[in-house]
Amino acid sequence: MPTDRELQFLTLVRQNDARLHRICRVYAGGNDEQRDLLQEILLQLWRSLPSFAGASSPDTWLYRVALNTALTHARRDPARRETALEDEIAVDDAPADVTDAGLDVRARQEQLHAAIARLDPVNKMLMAMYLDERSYREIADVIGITENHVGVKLHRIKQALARQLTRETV
Amino acid sequence: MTYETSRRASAKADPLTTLSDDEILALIQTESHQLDRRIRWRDWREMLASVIVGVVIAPVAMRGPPLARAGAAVILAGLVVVAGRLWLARRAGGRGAADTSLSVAEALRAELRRVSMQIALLESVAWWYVLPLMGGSVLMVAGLRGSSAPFTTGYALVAAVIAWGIIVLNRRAVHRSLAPRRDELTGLLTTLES
Repeated sequence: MPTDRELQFLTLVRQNDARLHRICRVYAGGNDEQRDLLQEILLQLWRSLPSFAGASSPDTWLYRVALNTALTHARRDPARRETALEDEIAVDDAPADVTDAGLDVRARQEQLHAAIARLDPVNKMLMAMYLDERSYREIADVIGITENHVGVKLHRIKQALARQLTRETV
Repeated sequence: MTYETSRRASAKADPLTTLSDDEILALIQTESHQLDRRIRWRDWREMLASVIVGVVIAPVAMRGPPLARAGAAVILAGLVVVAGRLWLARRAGGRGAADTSLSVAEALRAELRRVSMQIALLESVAWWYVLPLMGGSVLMVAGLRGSSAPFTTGYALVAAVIAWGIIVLNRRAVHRSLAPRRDELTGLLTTLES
């Protein structure tokens, strides 16, 4: 029979399934590697649970623990970083639209994911939270920089990605 | 494709089907306990080593010939210095040394402090570890009754080789592992703050 703390932990994990899985896919390539990272993040969340006393919001706390663990994981195994997001393409739902237009959207989405996979770990982190529809305030709290700074960095990342996608399209 | 399209695509629910509740509970129970055990065992091992050296050295420090007593005193003082430096190094990262709930920037700064402290420790290992322990042991052996000059010389040579080996291994660890990690952390912080 799980204890109250274990039940609280399981609820937290289930509420954040998609978010945790997305972070794993951003920072780890291949199913085994992603599963390893997920286990590492779960372990860190469990160990950090007593230190979470409402000082920050649950989302901010969860993101901090998950991203700090993912960054450490990425530093330990830098060779796998490059392939990280490319695998996400295969995991996404298959497109129902198999017309030329649908395939074109799919191809461009793949290009975007491949471009994100080539970002450095810090910019990947920003994009992961941006794609998860987090506000600038939340991103700033998790990362430890100002909201303005978040805006500037995201603007630069978008420009860099746009340039890269344009080059690949030409 | 717009960023909004990408945001919607990535924000889709993506259930974590790879681990069941039972698997998650088993993971946190076994892994967490194993980690605690490893930390406890490391602390016990270090304490045990210090106690053994202390027990072996203490009688010489109290009742040996003057030169041997001086050597034993240097070793005991060296042990205190070693314990103090290691304790300070563990505290170097402060609250963030192993706290993953800090902001990413704070966690990176804490890790950088910890790695820099480790580098400083390993680069100066000759002064705070090798010299007092090896030097003290040579003095002690030289001062013990019955130690001949050739034996003491031979012992000093062996101690010098071991000392050289310790210094080289520590420098190699800095060069191969810690310095690249420090550079990478500095790079991440620079990217984050630029």
